Amino acid sequence: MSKQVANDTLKMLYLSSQLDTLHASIGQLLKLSEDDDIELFLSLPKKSTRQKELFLRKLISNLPSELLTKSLSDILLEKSYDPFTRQPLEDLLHTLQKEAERILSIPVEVAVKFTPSDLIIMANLLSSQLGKQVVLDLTVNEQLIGGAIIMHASHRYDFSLKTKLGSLRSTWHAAVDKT
Amino acid sequence: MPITLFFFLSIATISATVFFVSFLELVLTYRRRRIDAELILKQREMRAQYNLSLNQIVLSSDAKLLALEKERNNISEKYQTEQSSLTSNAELLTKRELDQSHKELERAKKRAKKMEGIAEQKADEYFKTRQTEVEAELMDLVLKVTKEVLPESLEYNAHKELVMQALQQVRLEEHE
Repeated sequence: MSKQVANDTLKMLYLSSQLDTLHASIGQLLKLSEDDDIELFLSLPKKSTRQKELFLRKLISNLPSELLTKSLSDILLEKSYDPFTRQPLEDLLHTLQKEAERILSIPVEVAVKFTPSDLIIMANLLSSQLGKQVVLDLTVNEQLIGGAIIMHASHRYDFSLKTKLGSLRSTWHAAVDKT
Repeated sequence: MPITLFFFLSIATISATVFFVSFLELVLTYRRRRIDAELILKQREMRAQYNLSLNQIVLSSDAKLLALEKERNNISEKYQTEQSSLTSNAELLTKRELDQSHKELERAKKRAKKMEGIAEQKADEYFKTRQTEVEAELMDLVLKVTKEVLPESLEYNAHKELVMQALQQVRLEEHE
């Protein structure tokens, strides 16, 4: 179950900032779990299921990662608080952490701000190109004019219009110098 | 008697007077003639002296004139000698200077030709440099305008397409 949830959660990732907040959220939840704060509350016999769910809902909604909040909210809605007891929760979080660490963060510099749906398409395209899941470490730089600069495996792939125009300029200068 | 005497006496007196007057006249005439003669003599002496002094003056003037003429001739000779000397020197100098001038002229011509060549070369170089600069500036201007205009003319989908193409290239390049 934890693997499925982890995959479903990670599928929604497309930005490195989301990955960072996911790691932070996992760390936060793991700490709470390891400190038995969650387990202690959930094991209180006086607390009703409703109270326990509300506690968990509040706890989840305060997480910095919206994706993790959504995934955990879905689990809570579907299976109540049982998966949030210490062992299943830690299993889930560790699996998520392990899977998240495999995700590649690729710095990409673009000229305009793209919509989230387009960014998802771009991240998926790059993932399929590289054969592993990728999130975009996106920077918007209007000076690029168009295209993108992509950093991957110590390479810098410059496909910006600025560079293309620059190389065109250099070619022109070289041609003029030759004449 | 008395009358005769008187008469006689009168005649004697008159005669004596006439005689006396004649004698006086004679003396005076003599003296006058003597003075006239002296005057004439004096006049002659003075004229002679005048002529003498005039002759001396003329002689002196002639001598001076002669000296002056001699001096003039000397000066003239000296002048002619110097003139001929100067003329020959001048001719010599002129010839030398003329030769030098010709040489200078030749050198100046060579220098001018060399400078003309250098100037022409520099002008060509400047023209080429300027042409290159102008072409480069023109290209810079075109690129600048392109950079200004392109971002505004590129639509969102064009941007997206460019990024998608770039992302596809990453894979392709990694294979290469």
